Formats: sequence, C-alpha cells, structure tokens
Amino acid sequence: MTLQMGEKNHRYILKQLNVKAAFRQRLEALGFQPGTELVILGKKTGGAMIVRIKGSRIALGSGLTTCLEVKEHYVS
Amino acid sequence: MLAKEQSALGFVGNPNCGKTTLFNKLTGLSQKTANWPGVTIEKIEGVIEHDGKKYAAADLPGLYDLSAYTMEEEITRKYLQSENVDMILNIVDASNLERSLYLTLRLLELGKPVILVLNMMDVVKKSGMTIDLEALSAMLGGVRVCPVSARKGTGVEQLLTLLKEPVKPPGRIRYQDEYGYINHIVERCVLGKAKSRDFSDQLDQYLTHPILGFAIFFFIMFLVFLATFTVGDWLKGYWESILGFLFDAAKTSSFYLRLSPWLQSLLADGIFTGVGGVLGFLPNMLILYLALAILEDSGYMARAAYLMDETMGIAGLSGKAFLPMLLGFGCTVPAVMATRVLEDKKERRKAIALLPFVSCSAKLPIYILFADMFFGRRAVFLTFCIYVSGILLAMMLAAVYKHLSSSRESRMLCIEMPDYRLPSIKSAGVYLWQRIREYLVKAGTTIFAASVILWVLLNHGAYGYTSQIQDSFGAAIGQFLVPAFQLTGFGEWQMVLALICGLSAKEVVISSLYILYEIPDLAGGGAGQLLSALAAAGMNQAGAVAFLVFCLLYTPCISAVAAVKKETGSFKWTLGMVLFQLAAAWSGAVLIYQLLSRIL
Repeated sequence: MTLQMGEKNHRYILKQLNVKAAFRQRLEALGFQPGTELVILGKKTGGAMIVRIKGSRIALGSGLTTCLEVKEHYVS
Repeated sequence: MLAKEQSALGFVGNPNCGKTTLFNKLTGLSQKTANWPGVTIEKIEGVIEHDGKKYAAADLPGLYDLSAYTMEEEITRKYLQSENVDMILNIVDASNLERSLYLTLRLLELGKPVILVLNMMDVVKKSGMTIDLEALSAMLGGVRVCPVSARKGTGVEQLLTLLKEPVKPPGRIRYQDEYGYINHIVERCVLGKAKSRDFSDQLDQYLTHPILGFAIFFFIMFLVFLATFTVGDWLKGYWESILGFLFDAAKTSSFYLRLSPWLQSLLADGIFTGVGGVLGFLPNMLILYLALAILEDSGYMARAAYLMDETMGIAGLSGKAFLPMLLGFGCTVPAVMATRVLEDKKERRKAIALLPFVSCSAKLPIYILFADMFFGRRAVFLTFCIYVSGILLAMMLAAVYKHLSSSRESRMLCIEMPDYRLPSIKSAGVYLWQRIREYLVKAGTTIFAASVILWVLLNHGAYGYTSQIQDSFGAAIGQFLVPAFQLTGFGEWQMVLALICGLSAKEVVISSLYILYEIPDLAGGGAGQLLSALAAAGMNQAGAVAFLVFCLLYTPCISAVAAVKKETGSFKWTLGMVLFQLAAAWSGAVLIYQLLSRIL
C-alpha cells in the first residue's frame, strides 16, 4: 500500500521510495529509509500528511505520499 | 600550512537548529532568526573575538546531508569543499539526536576538525533527558562535544574556551549503515525517554486540521490585515501630529535662518512634503511587521506551507512556495531571495513571477491614503479587496500557465515542522528595529532623492527656473504619457508622473502626489487637501479604484527588479516580467474603471 492510504495515528514501516535518486537521497537524510517506522499525525483530504519519523515531524505533500510504499506496523 | 591571523569557523547543521542564534550570540551581530527551516539563505560572515584571539566565522544555510539539493544548500556544500575551513562547528538539535547525527557523521568523514555543539540543551533538560557526553564523544571518534543553549546563552563561554584549544587533525573515518550506527549511539548515550512533544502535537490537532485549520489560517490572515489598518491608523494619528510639529519647527527655523528662497522652497515643498508624507505611515508598517515576526517565530510558517499545499498546487507550486509569498507581504526583495528554498529552477521562476502580485508593505500607504480619501468608512473593505484580488489574479494566471504548459510533474512538498514556541521578544524587537531603520534610511535616501529630483523637475523648464509648474520639465514628461492613460480614469499628468516616480520605491507615489499637488503640510489635514485637488482634477471613486489596481499590479520597484534579475540570472526574463506587469496593470486599471464608472 502507499502511505497515502494510511490512517491517522496508525504506525507504518517504510518499504520503498519511488522517487528520483536525488530526491531519495534527500528523503533518506531526513530519516526516510526503508525499514523505518513512522506514525501519521495528521492527514488532509487531498492526501497531504504530517508524519513523525526518527523523532522529527515532517509535512509531506499529496504528490509525495503516493510515492512512498509502506506496510502497516502492528504494535502489541 | 601558512600562518593565518584568524582561523575560519564554519557553522554547519540542519535547518532550524539554531545556527544563526548561536552565531549572533558569538559575533554580536543581529542576523534574522525565526522558527522555520530555511531562514538563512546566504553565507554571512562575522568575527568572534575571545581572549585576544579572533576567528572568522561563517553562518551557513542549513542542510540535511552533503549532497546539496537546493540552491542555498549548495552554498554550504561549496564552502565546506573549497574554502580553507579550519574548524567546523556542527550545531545539532540535542533534543533530536536521532536525526541530527546523520549530518554529523557525514561531516566527520570530511576529516576536518569538528566541534559538536549540542544546542537546545535547555529543552533536553526540561524534558527530563540526559545525554552522556563522554560516551557520545567516544563513539564519534573522540570529537569534542559542547552542550549549549544558544537562546538562553548557557555554555557559550565553554564553547569559546574550546575554540582556543589546539586540535590534532582527526583521522578520516568512514561510516556505513549510518542510521544503524546512530540508533546504537542514541541507545547508549541518550538516557531517559523524552516526554513526547505533547503540546505541539495537540496544538496541531487544531491548527493543521483539514477544515478547522483552514478557518484558523484565514482568520489569522484577516486579523493581521485588520490590525495593520485599524490599530495602525489609530497610532498613525498620534504619530502624524508629532511629525507635523517637528516639520513646522524646521520650516520656521529655515525662515528665521534666512535661507535663500529657493532653498526654503526645496525644503518645504520638496523634502518635508515628500518625505513627511511617507513617514506618516510608519505605524501601519510596524504593526504588519510585528505580525509577520510573530508568525515566523512561533513555528506557524511551516504549518501554513502544509495547509496551502493543495492551493498552491493549482498554480503548479508546492506548499513550500507559500513561505516566500507570506514574506512578500513585508517586502518583495527578501521574498524573491527566499525562493531559493524551492527545489527546481522552473518552480523558482514561477514563484518569483507571482511575487509582485503579493502587495508589499510599501504599497500600503497608497492604499490607505486613497481608500480613506474616496471611500471613508468602507476603506478597510476596499483595501482588503485589493489585497485579495492581487493574490487571486496571480493564482489564476499561474493556473492558466500550468494548463498551457505541458509539464505534468507533481510537486512534492517535504518540510520539517518545528515545535511551536513563544515568539521571543528579543528577536521580534531586533527584527522590528531593523525594519524601522530600513524604513527611515529609505525615507532619508530613496524617497529624499526622489523628492529632490521631482522638485527640480517641477521648478525648471525650457526657460530655466520657473515657478509655473505647468511650464516645467516634469509637466512635459507627464503630459507626453497622458494619452496612454485616457481610458484608466486617472489621465492627469500629475498622477502619471507620480506613478513613474514610484518605480524608485512605491511610497514615492504618495510623496510625489503631495509635491505635485503642492499640499503644504500633512498634519493639518493633508489628505483632505489632496482629495479636493484630485477631485478638482476629475478623479472619482471609479478612478481611485483603477489607480489602486494599477499600483497593485504595475512593475515592482527598482530594488525588487534588481533582486529578480540577480536571482533568475536572466535579463531577458526580468524584462519580460517588467513588461508583463505593466501590461497587466494597464489592462486591469482600464477594465476596472470602465466597469465601475458604469456602476458607481
């Protein structure tokens, strides 16, 4: 699933970043590395989101949230 | 190595981690600081003096890793690679080591001496965490670590002492699986779990809410606008009487000093009338800048970018482009420079093209004066419409352009959202004082010079000095262009000339009108006298609105045009923008006048 399909307050594990290489490097420096856990803090109807990843709070545009592949992370 | 008098220190770190705050503290400078990523977009140089030693310090734009992605990051990367940096001060947000250390590892790989400055230690302490400094240093190849709070000023002395110590060149280190290693470091060195950032997260539930967030955003914008006009106007009353008193005193003394008549005329009719007419609007300007300072320092800016992402998408821009737009309400020049945070050249140029439609604060005096004169109690409403129509028009043009151009790439907003904090009174004070100083300097230089030149043009004609304004060069220039403005409702040579003078700075439109219509003093109801002069010249409400629309849309001032040329690097593009704005202003004014003169 893409991150855009995710729901608020749920946790996800990042699987893949489908973006250009230069932009991927930027995202990875921000903490978006495959295998990293993130939480959706807020979501707009258009698909833009606020996520918490590696301790920082980052806003992602709707164009970007469709490019990030995730799987839901169930924490007991 | 050659003996250098000063060793060079580079301030490097993630955006919004407090580099400039620390830089200001150490150098005694007062560079702009605020609470959003990307405030510093240039390399700023300063000198640190401590214990008889001098250091050449460079404050650099923030970055996340060494592969520069945007223009301002490129500046930092170049500095690190090419210049003779003796020491890197790597400033990190100690309350978020997990993310910050990524850049630290990259910097250590460069093999240059690094001091790891753990900033925001006050936040760390407050949240109940402790950091094992020795272990941290050991795990990072023995790098020197210094805990500080740049905002509170703690730990700065220790940092200065640390600078003096001789450094042995560190060995080159290579890190692999950076985040794996960072996890390891954080687990080992950060003791106690941070209380979650409850407050900011809770506030975000409202402020970035899909519906409520928008409502609050527009409410805030409206409030800023209202305060600028109502509170500003209230203060303006008092301020104008002070100014009037001062100018009267100056005029009287110039009379008693027996200055020659032409000099008296230059002072009274040129300088006092012109400069004084503009200085009166200082209070409105101050309120607007105070509001911007609060927005910038509170952490709300990044939220605005998030909220406006889809809206900016209509224009083919990402929400990040909204940051320069917001700054543009203050002044177009820094706003044009702030577009450096945008990722690609096309997007930057598009954002720059939109900026002149965002009404800068220099146009405020024109709106206030004309709206007050012609619309009385409905003045604030009219001004609001002018502001909004500028933005709407810009968005519409951009949307049309987006539709016509084939590029279909989607813009990808990605911006860090800092914690909210109370705006610091000190940084707001510094910011306001700088704006006041800039405004006074502008009044004393650009507006002063424009007033003198205009006075000369109006008092000299083909036959030398003349007291008949109709025979002057100024009148000739204005009259030459009048035919082009017949359809706009302000086809009077005085108004046309004032608009031309306004190219030097937008406030000059006002100072020029005061001079052109020979309005003697501003305290004794200068606006009333100007109104009767304008009305006698045939200007009505429709003409006044058309005039304001023209002012809203026409070519920005010289400084803004120069900034556009510098940032785009293209003369052709800049010229195209200038001509386009002129055409837009003319068509807008004609349209509005022809429409309104049939309704009103």
